[in-house]
Formats: sequence, C-alpha cells, structure tokens
Amino acid sequence: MKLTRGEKIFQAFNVAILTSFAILCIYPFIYVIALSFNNGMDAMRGGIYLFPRKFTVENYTRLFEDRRLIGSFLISVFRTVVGATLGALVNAMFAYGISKSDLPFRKFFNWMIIIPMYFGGGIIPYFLVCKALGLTNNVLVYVIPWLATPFYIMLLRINIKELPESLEESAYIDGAGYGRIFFRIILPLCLPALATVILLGGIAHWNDWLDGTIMMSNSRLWPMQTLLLHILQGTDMMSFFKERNLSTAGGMIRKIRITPESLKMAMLVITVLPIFMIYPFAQRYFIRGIMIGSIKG
Amino acid sequence: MVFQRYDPVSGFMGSKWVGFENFRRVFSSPVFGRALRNTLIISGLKLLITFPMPIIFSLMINELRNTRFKKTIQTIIYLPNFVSWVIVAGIWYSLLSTEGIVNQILLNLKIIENPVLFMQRKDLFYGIIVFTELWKSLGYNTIFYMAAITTIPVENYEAAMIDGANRWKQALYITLPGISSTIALLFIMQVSGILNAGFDQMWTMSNLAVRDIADILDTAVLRTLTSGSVDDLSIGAALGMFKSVVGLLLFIITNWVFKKCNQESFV
Repeated sequence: MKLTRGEKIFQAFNVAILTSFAILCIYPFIYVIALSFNNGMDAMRGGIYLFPRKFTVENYTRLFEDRRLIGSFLISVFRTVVGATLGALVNAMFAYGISKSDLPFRKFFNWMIIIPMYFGGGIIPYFLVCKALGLTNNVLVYVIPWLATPFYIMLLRINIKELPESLEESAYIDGAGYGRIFFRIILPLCLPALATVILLGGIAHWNDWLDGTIMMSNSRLWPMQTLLLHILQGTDMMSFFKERNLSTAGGMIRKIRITPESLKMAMLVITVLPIFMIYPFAQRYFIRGIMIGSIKG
Repeated sequence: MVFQRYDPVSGFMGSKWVGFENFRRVFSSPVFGRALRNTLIISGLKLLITFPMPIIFSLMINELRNTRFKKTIQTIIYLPNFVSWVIVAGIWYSLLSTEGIVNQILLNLKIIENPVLFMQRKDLFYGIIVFTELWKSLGYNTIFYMAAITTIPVENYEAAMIDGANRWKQALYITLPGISSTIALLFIMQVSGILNAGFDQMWTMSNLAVRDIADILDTAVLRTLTSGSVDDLSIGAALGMFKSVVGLLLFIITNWVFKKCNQESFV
C-alpha cells in the first residue's frame, strides 16, 4: 500500500512522539543507575546523565554492611515467595470450590468474594483486626491477609470453568477424590493462569509498603519498600550514617565519598532490580492476566 | 466502631457508644473539608488529562507499521506501571532535585537562573502529580484499548479502504467507534472511583511544604493511624467509612447508568 505525503509526515511524527515517550519511560531508571554507581561527592557536581563518571561500588557495599537492610531484603523475599505461591494455591482452591455447582452455600461464598471487591472497611478496621489477631509486629501479617484475592479467584475460576467436564468425570470414575482431582488434574491444566497469579501476586507483595508502615512498629520487620520510603522521606537517613568507625581517619574519608543521595540511589536500584529481572519473561503473563481481568469488569 | 469513642485499651466491647458523634466531628473538622476538596481536584485533573491520553496513544500505536518497533515500544511503556510508587517517588524526587537533571538542563538552556525546588512549589505540585501519574500508568492503560482494537473485524477496514477512506478517516470512523464501549466502561469506572485520588502516590510524593494541597481523604485516614493519637482512631475509621459508603453508592449509580445505556452491567 502506498502512502500519501500527508501519511508519511504523520508516520514520522508518530514514530518520533512514541519513541520520545518510550525514552522518557526508560531514561529515569538509567539516570538512577548511573548515579548509584558514582562517587557520591562527585555526583553533587551534577552532569551525570548516562554513565557514572567516577565509578564505584562503594554505595552498594556500604548498604550491604547494614544489618537492617539485609533483614528487610530477606523479609521482602520471604513475603514475595511464600506469599505469592501460598496465595496462588489458596485462590486456586477457592476458585475450584466455587466452580462446582453442588457446593453447599455456593451463593454465600460467591458474595464473599464480590463484596470486598467493591466495599472495604478502610485501613483502620483492617489494622485493628490484625492487631486483635496478634498479627502486628509479626511477619505473618505479610502473608495471611493476602491469601485470598478476589481478582485472582475470578481469573482462576474463568480458567477452571473452561476445562472440559468429562476430564474430571473420568477421573472420578477411576476413583479419584476432589483433592486428587484438584492437585493432579486442575492445577497442572491451569499452569499458565497460576503463573499469572503468582507473578502478579509476587509483584504486589514486593511493591507493598503499606503493611510495613501500619502494622510494624519494629522497623526490623519492615520490607524493603517501607524502609526505602522512610529513607526517602528523610526520617531515617541518620541511622545509616552512624558509622561505627567515624573516629578513624578512614571512616571520615569514606563518609565524605558517600552521600545520602548516592545511598538512596543505590537503595532504589536494589529495590527495583528484581522487577527488572523478571519483567522480560513475565510480561506476557501480566498482559494475559489484565486481559482476562478486563473481560470481567 | 465508627459509632464509638474507641479506646484501644478496653477494645471494641468496652468502648463507649456515641452514635453519629464521630461523623459529626469528621464533617465539622477543617481537615475533612480540605481533604475532600483536594481529592476532588486531583481526581478531576486526572479524569481530564490522564483519562484521554491512553486512548490517543493506543490509536497512535495502532498506526505503527513495523511490528517489532511496535512491540518494543509497548514493552517499554508498560514497564513503569510495575514498579511501586515508592520507587517512582524516589526517582522523580531525584530527577527534580536541585542537582537533578531537569534543573541542570533548564540551567544550561538559560531558561532559569537558579535551580527550582520543584517538589516544594505549591503551584507546580498538581502538574507533577498528573505528570508522574501519566508516566507510570499511560502505557499500561493502553493495554485495554489495544485489546479492544484487536477485536475490530478486518473487513471493516477493507470496506472503508475500498470506499476511499484514508488512514486518518479509518482511525476516526472505524477504530474509535470500535473501542467506544471500552472507553465508556473505563470512563464510568474512573468516575465511580472519584474519591480515590491515588493513595500510594499522594502518600509517597507529598511533603510538608505541600501538605495543604496534597492531603487527600486516604492520606488523612492513614495519618490518624501513624500519628499515634488514640482519640483519632474512631475519627479516622469514620472518615474511611464515609469514603467506602460514598464510593459504593457512586459505583451502584454509575453501574445503573451504564446498564441503562448499554443493556449490560459489569458486575
């Protein structure tokens, strides 16, 4: 198909705008990465756009000397891995249950997942419930309230409903119970949907900062995001700067080379890195999940 | 609990019942008026600006002819949506800081003489909020429209081409009507969520200098919890309850309107 002159101009214009927007989306990350690998003192002069000028990994080594950062990293990993996989399992069980028309109180369970999608009590009752259950200052608060997610249940239920019923019937005739059917037939056949739920759930877990903020008065139990937020808001920078060996000359020089700004950049990179690493592989699952979700409101 | 003067020591059973007292105190407090106003302003701005942009962008992406280029663009622009607002706030605070790149460029181009304290300026704050919202969600929101565009039958375009419609006319008279129901659906969802001005965003991006114009309902509720004042808990809960109830009503109303227009609902 031949393009007219106007269409050619439009194409050039279109490509230019979309390319600039894509650059705008990716560039801030590059900027932060460059700063995080640069000498903090030197970075204050400005002028670092794409690559570090005075390359150093000192910002990172300094961060990883901090016990609290390692602790928060482990907590984030724990809640992401355990929370996402357990959540997917629970959601799949729930979805399998309500996909059966002979389930007692099926209507009730259905409403139990629809109501919280549109109506919630707010965070204060949520906090009080968790407190009454002994979940405050307890890492289980990162896992238990997250186990059942209405959106994922809907997504999995749509998937389970699509499976041919004869498959289950024949397994039933062969003597398999619901449990065996669920683990041996339903779960393996729903793997793509499960992957979507695990990945989306994992991202949500990794990105959550609110639970740490409201449930944990003990900052050792914070996930990375909460710790990062506190550092960014400037309420928590000083603890990173209580150098054990400030009295020595080496400690002083080191403190000068690392600035709060450069530490923040390194921390940002560490926090965003896991997402960057799985994004290329996980992208199609994300989009799949969004599409299925958007069909059903 | 919202009808009690909640006392954490005596708990739910032991606290005193005060009827609608908490709601009366919420509605008469200056913080509520301010938070409601800010919520509506920010939501309104987002409805006006961040809502239509993804539609325009999906039409533009749809016009791209090189498939690989199209895929690359899509992959990149979806990315910011998957990082948390904490990260987004950290990144943009850094970019907009006095030593940050935005100030550097403006200084080098001699547009400004002294670095601008972007995040401290009340007149720039809403602009930054809308911009960062666009940065984070624009690409992602095109997914819905791109999905709708793929459902439009190819014959429609072929017929239009035979009738002599150029690409511009095809976009205007076939693609746009083809995705109109998706637009309507997302618009109604956005309207029914008008009390959600973006909690994560406002909590992570605001600072004391802009508190007056950045405090929305959700952040006001959360502050009653983090401030540690016991007396505030019932007030915060009442405020949260107000938001939930109004949000539900808005949802029911918009859903009803949608049903009237479209003969289908989304519940």
